[in-house]
Amino acid sequence: MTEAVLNIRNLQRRFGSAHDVQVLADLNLDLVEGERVAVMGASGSGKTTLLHLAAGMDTPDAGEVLIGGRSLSALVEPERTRFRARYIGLVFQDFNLIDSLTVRENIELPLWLNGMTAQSGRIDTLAEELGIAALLQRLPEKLSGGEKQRVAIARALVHRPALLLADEPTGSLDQTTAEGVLRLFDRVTRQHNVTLLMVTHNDEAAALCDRILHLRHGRLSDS
Amino acid sequence: MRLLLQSSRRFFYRHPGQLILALVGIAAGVAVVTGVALMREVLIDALDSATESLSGAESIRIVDPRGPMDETLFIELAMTRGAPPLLPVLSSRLRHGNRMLELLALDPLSLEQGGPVRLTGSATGPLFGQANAALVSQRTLERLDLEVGATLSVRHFGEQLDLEIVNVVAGGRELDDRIIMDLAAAQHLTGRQGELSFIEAPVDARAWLAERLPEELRLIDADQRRESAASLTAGMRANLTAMSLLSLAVGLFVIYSVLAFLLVQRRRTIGMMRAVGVTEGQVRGLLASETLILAGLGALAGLALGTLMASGLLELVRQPVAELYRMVASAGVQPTPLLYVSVWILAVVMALASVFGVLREAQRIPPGQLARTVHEERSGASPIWRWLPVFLLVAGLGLILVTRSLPPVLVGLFIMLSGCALLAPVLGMHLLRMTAALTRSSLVGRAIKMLLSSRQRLAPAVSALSLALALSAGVGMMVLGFRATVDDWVARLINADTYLTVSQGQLDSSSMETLQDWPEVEMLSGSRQVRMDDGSMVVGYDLNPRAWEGFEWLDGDGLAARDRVESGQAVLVTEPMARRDGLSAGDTLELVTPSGTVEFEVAAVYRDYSTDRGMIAMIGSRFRELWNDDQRDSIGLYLGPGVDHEALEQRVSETFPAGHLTTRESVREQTLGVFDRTFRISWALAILVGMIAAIALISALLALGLERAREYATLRALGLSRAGLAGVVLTQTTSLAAIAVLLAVPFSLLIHATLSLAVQPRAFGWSLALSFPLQPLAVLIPLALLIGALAGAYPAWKIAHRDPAPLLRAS
Repeated sequence: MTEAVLNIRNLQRRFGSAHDVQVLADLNLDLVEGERVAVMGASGSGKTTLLHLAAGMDTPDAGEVLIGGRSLSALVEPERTRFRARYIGLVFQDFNLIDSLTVRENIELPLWLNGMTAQSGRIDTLAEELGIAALLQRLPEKLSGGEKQRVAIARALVHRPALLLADEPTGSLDQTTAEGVLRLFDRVTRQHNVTLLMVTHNDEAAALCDRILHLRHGRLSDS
Repeated sequence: MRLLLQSSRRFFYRHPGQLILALVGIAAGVAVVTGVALMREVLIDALDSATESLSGAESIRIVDPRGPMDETLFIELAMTRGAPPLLPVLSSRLRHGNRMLELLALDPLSLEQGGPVRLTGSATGPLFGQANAALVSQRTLERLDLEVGATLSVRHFGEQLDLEIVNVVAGGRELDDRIIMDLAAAQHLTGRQGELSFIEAPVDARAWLAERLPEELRLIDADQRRESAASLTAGMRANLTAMSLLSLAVGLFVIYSVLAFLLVQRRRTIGMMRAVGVTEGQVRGLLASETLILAGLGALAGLALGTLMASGLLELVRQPVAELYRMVASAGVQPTPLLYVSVWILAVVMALASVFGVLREAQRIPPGQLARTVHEERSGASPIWRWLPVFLLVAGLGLILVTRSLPPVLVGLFIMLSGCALLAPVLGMHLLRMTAALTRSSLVGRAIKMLLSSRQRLAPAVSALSLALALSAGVGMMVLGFRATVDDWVARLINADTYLTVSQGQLDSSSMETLQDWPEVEMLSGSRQVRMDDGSMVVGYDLNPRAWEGFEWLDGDGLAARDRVESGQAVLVTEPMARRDGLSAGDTLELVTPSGTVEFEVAAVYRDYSTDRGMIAMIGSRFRELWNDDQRDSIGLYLGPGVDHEALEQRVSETFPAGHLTTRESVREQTLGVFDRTFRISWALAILVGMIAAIALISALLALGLERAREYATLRALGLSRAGLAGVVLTQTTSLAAIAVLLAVPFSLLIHATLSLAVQPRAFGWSLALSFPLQPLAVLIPLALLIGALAGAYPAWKIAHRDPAPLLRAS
């Protein structure tokens, strides 16, 4: 039987000075191991907020997020950070690589944060799989957008997270590059049996996933 | 332009910390320059102008270069037919607590005869009333915290005098700390009956006086007096100016840092503006306008702050000036619009020059650049730029080594320090790179690697901090080394067991004969000094064999010199005198004495730190013959074993009622006390420079924190804890302080060596034995590391507690 990796229960989040803008309203979502789910929605619909809540970078006004059965709400901030470092991988639209670190060092970051530097051989494996083995000693400023996103994917997967959260992974790329990155993303996530929650505008990216959900008025729906 | 200015206004509105730091940085630098400039003015113009202030017009002064003049001379002159109105004055130093006061005793009768000095009748009237009546200016009254009618207790050569303040005299700051008394009363109170310090006369009486004055007297006009006072304090002023300019330079680092950061923040905006048609010139204009506004406002605040600070700084130098140059400076500064405008323009021009690099960088932002890059371009600096720091360092050192006068040495010092400032970030980044390589996979290694990519942004802070530390430590080492040299010199030269001086009456040859007969006394030495027109001294020594051993010869054969000096044919000169006049052993010098101009051979040059104006020493018998002066300022007593000091003091007080004995240890303590007070201003300025450097560091770190916000947020998103992130930031700030400290060590040794071996000899004429007291470094190194950690504490806390989610949203 496949295990539940992510369970989101009645999630609510409001913004605004008067706390009057409801972005997420009683949102529910379940992901099982190896499942890949895309969330689509208009700009400002709350996709990134959902991702930040799932990653424990933001706290909900109501409801809860459970990863591997463990409620993030039950964790205090330092525990949430450690939990995120160990169990979650993140891919951002703007890559968010550390410009002062080489490609290898960027990928190595999650291993270092988890005290897993002994597994640094995995950097080379992933780099081979993502076609960036020749770039490991370079600084991010010398890379193209597609290369940067491949480095970001390697960084997100290197510590074998339970859940991969991707925020518009092709949003900053041109169409041709985006297609190439998506192919690699698809192959690598399948190969490593990654549980993926991706928010995107891109139909092609969403099509890679097992399920496509739409975020409207703070709630998820299948159509 | 309006829109661009609007954007910078909003930026500063959103980042008030940046604005405050920029303003504080420039204001602090300008404040030190203003304070020192105002103080400099006092040390030139307001040193010797008290009687001038009373006269309200320029006067000429009759002085006797041998010292006090006989009152009968005044009487003779005043009684001569057609005599101009003359004012006899007795001037003397008084001490009130730690404060040095000047007694100016005038003859009220001469005042009423329409003499050159005008005191109103109502003010002078009370002077006739009682023997201890005194007048002071309103400012002096307030400074002494007294009221009219109060008693002012002062010490004159160790003896207490109680004066009654009977009225207030109108006058400006030139009368600060001056006590005006009736001449006869003051002569009686101080035991200086029949003595005058000088006589004031109207300027138009010069020809009349020149015809009638005895040959040994001099006529000095106001310009000559001002020039003399200015030259006395030239070395001190040069020292202060150098320190103040350095503090301004450190303040400018803050401006550069803030404006450079502002550019990074608005790269995208400027790129967009360029895309829609804003020209390079307009971009340059925007940044120049910002600099103008920031520096202009900061400089205005600095002028105000500096004016407030000037009085405090002045208090630090007034006492040494009084002790070293026997002149009581005004206690207040007198700002002039010209001075304010000059300092303001200097600050703004230097600020504009300092951001030249930022303007060039802004100009190079291509139209439409959208990427908000946080990394810096790898600049392919040409070899000329790469080698510029080394060139400046070598050129500065070369200039210092080859020139013999002070101004080029100070220029050389500035060129050398500029080289150090440019070299500091280059060497610092190499050191950081090495540290990062050694600590590669640790938090320290990663934190330092992140820091390395901001090297251009951090360069000014590293330069400012290392230079400020080096300057503080270098000045500290020079002062401590100098102090040890002076201590050694005093211990050697002051070798009598005790010294006899008198507060009233005089010591002369008969006093020496009396003392020589005392069984407690084995040997005696005596000295008598007179001041020459140029401020140098001539001293007549009565020396015994042990006293001769106290001389440290720098040029010439000591034994041979002694024979020639004792024969009266030759003189000794101090090192400052030898340097200033280019004298060495075997040369001849002409000395203007009351008995005419006499040529002497220079037998030897000896070490002396008592006066930077130089001293010529001759044997006492020859001095008495030439100056017709039998007095002694002090007599050194070399005692036999087992002498009861209390009994000796008793005998001295019986024989010389106004006599005081001062032990060798007391003389040493007093000398070192004067030394310490002289260098308090150097310490104060070094601390101010250090504080401005700390502002530069905090400014750079805050800028770094804002600039790297997204990277820090990414690390938090990847799972770096708040404590871990704070650790990264603190590691970065402490690393910066650590490399600044490491670089400051060799720089400080260089500064110390330059000050000791080049600046001191040229400014004051004396050489110092180079030693390396490490106490300043032992204090400054941990202090700088602490400052680095503290400077990073707030940015670290702020960055660590910032919510990463908003920062990670796609731009």
